[in-house]
Amino acid sequence: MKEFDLAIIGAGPAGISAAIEAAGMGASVALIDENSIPGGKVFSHTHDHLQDTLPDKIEKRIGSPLLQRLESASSRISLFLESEVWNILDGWIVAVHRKGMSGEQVKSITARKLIISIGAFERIVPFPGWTLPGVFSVGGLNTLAKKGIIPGERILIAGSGPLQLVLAHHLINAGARIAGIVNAVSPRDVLARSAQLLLNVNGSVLKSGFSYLFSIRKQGIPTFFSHALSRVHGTTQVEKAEIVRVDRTGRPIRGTEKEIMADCIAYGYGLIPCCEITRLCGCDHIFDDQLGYWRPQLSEKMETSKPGVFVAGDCRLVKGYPAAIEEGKIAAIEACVQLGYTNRQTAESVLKASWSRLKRFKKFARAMELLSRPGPDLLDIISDDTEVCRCEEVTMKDIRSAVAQGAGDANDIKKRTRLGMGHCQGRFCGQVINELIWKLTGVPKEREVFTPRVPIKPVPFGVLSQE
Amino acid sequence: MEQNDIFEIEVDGRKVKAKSGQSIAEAMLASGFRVFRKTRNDAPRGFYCGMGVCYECRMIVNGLPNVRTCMTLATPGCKVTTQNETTMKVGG
Repeated sequence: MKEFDLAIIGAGPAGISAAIEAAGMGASVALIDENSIPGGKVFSHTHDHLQDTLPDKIEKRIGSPLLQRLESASSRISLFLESEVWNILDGWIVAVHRKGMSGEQVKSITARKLIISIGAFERIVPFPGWTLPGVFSVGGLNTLAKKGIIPGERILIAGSGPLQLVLAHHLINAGARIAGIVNAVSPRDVLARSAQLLLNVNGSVLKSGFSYLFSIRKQGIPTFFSHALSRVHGTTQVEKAEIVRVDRTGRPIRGTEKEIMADCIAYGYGLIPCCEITRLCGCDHIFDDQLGYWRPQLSEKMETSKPGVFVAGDCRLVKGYPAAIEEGKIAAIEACVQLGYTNRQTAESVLKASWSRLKRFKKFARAMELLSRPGPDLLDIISDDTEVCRCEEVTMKDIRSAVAQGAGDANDIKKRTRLGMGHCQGRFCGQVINELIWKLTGVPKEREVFTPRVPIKPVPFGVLSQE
Repeated sequence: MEQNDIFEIEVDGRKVKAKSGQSIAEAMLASGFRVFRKTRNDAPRGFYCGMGVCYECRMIVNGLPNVRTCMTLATPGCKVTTQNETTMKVGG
């Protein structure tokens, strides 16, 4: 088993920044990522596919040097790509499954410290038809658009949040036709909340934002505020969408449904942190009512409640790559202090500057969240035939009958219906199941999460037996 | 392999163009494929999250089932098959 001072899980902006910093101080570093190239969702396309527009230039200006620095530090950083972490044992032993077509690619590594930087993923509210091919997450379609792949003739962007603009921008650049943008937030709230955002962004984000808005205005794309997708029709793939007006709490107003012809739909309500690995490590998490998501509890040095386990980037607080790069650095410096590669005094002076730069990003995260979080009554969009758990095809009707038979909490529903037991391991249905139960029983109880189970990502049986 | 090298992969017996650096899913979507999988209740599924979380794009790649095509690079000549879970005995 290979031994390292530091294992970093997730090679996006936060992970790369942490790896460069720690390797620079002399620590031996393992940087692990599921993808075939480093960079995460935001930087993995930096070199080839970006256009000459302002936001893409900014992305490139920050991303390219980061990737170059990683490359020049390659003798000191062991990069494990196409490598999936499926278990972590105290100590720390990180069980890694190297994907790929041939077998015999199983590896485990040991590390004295861990930095977890696995990013964020889509917040969802299920609706009837959301499992049809042609419905993409906003992030998923954005990945394609950035590479110039446009899987449809008429694209509808629905949900909420600033990512809608980023996606529209990339789609327009790639020559796509956008049928409309549907946003569940009211125009009044969008304006008020955007003001909050504007007060807390740095110049480059602000410039990108205006550039996004400008390209959308120029295209004359129809925009539907206070509306949500209520259904998608189609037999084997998306044929048309139905949207409905929603009130300020998100409640759909029946009778206001409209049809929009679309063969491709991007859907999502902003991003939330990926907590599966911090949960697996046994770190404490809190449900942040202001932000509307679970996040690990951290010290200002990015250390979790488990000594030696650090977190950096969007898997702690969703706020984008400039802050993630800063946090990666902080986590690495503190880990190196603990490992003895630098002394506390030297570290403190660097950390102080980083902390002050980070302050602003926290307000930015809050403002982003305000623009993304749907009203609580948007859950009324979930009809009886809606698949709440995509993996196990568990419908709202199944949940309703389980509750009628006495199921009182999320883990109980899981046992009775298999909801949350499929390939994604409850990452999507787990976002709404508490609220659905509360709505059905009329009794809000303590919020539950599914108990983390190993393997946290599906791996072949052969992998388990070799460990 | 040079960047932007174009080659072919095979999806359900059909030749599909791919570029180096593209995932199998990207090559398929660029060629008009939407359905990647059938669930055990025969419901069609396709590419959804694009980041390895949802597993909806899993297919049989070179005989290996449950491969996330969004996370797997296309390689010249690789054989990809729609994963039909109504008839699959294991996995799914």
